[in-house]
Amino acid sequence: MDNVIECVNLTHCYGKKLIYKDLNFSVQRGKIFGILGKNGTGKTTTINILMGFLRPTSGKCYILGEESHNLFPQTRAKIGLLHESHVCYEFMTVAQVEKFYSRFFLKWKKDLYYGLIDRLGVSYDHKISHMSCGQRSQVALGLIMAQNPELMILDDYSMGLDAGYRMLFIDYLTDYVRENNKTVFMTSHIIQDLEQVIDDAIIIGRQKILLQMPIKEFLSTFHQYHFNVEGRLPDLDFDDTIANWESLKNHYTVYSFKAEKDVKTYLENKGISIQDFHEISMNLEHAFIGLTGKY
Amino acid sequence: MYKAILYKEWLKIRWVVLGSVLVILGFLMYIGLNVRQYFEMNDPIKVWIYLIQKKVLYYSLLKFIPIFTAIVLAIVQFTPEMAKKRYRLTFHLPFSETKSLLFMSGIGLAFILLIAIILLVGLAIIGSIYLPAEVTISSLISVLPWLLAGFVSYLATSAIVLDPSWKYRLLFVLFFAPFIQSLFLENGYYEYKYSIGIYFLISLLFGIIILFPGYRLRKGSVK
Repeated sequence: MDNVIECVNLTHCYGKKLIYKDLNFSVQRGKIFGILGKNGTGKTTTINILMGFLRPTSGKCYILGEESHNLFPQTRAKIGLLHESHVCYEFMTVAQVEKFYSRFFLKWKKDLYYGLIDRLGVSYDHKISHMSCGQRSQVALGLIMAQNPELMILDDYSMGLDAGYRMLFIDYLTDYVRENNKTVFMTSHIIQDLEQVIDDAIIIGRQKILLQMPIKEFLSTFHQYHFNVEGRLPDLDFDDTIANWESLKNHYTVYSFKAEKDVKTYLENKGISIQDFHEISMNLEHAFIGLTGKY
Repeated sequence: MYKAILYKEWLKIRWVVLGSVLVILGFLMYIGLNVRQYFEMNDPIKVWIYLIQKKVLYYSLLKFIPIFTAIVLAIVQFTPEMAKKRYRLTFHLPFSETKSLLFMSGIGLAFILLIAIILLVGLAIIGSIYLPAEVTISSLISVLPWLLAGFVSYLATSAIVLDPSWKYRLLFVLFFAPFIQSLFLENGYYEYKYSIGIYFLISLLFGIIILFPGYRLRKGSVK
């Protein structure tokens, strides 16, 4: 399989604080890959390492076959970066920023950029600093699309966007990526939006990867079970069956990759008297919280 | 690609360039009119005493123009790159970051050179109209340390603005401040006649200073 990104035994610390240890993952060509995790688990750190702005404490990260902190300029031309908060040259106008970037990329597609800008209804001499966050996100996306990169790395594209602009961003992105067979590596703090977009994901917990699998497989194999308990309220261990659990009074919720029957048998074997045991369906956001916990 | 970088830098600095050129031209005109008025209002002996014996530099109004312009220019040029970590945009361009940084600072230095040329030509014109050649030449030599201070201040301010670490910023201040201050110790004409060459050679070494903060930014000194 052709891997566009490959991270091997990636470990990073800020001073003495370990962010994660021995992270291993790869991203296949043509896939939309999401990196999910709660605040402080190292999503932005990973993006910074991939972008070459941070050297990992140990381990290697390869992008298009080159070490990420030492990319050749011609390799950088194949990577479109969307920076957090859609950072761009805000002292430029819509037309000026296009003129600037177009000189760096041989495969520049001006029409794609202006196609997106025209949808915004802003004039070409509109200064980017005078735009709303949503409009700026479209400018940034338009520039990346016009660059026609092999790989797009999108760092929290949803930051500062309202629901409408998030949808617009996702619509344009997925249409472009599917049509042009691009590879995308993305993060977002709005997990729900990613459900319809990403193919594969890794979920990072405290200092390690909790899971790496196609998102459809995750949603079909990860279950949420509710039940009530009579009498003593037991503490459950985390093991092969119980990925996570939580309780409120005598109501229990258990998250597991096992089937309903297996979990029920497991609980009964522990001597727990369960009532009203049933599965509740989950979207990606619920499944994510189920795996990583609310706190 | 160089053309694109030049275009970006021009968008950032154009108002500083236009503004400072206008200010300098205004100052030169003021100095010219002042000298003319002094010659018209006073007899030649008094002018001689005033200019030569009392060592009054008739162009002292220009003293801090190069350094002030250079500092403003470096701030205007590099602050937008640092705000919101925008330097990452530059570093991700398919262009060597070393060449990019050197070219960006080269553009700033070229503008300071333009300022220097305007100042020198302006003073030469004023001198050629009102003063003996010896006084004109000595005034041009005396102004060189101020111009050199402009170049060095630009490099120093650029490095200070670009550096991600306050520790290094402070080190740059402590390193450059005495050198720049030593270029303003004149007390008359020809004061730096024999040392300006050495100052110039030392200043050349500062030319690549901008690469140090650039390297730290690129290799991840910023979390």
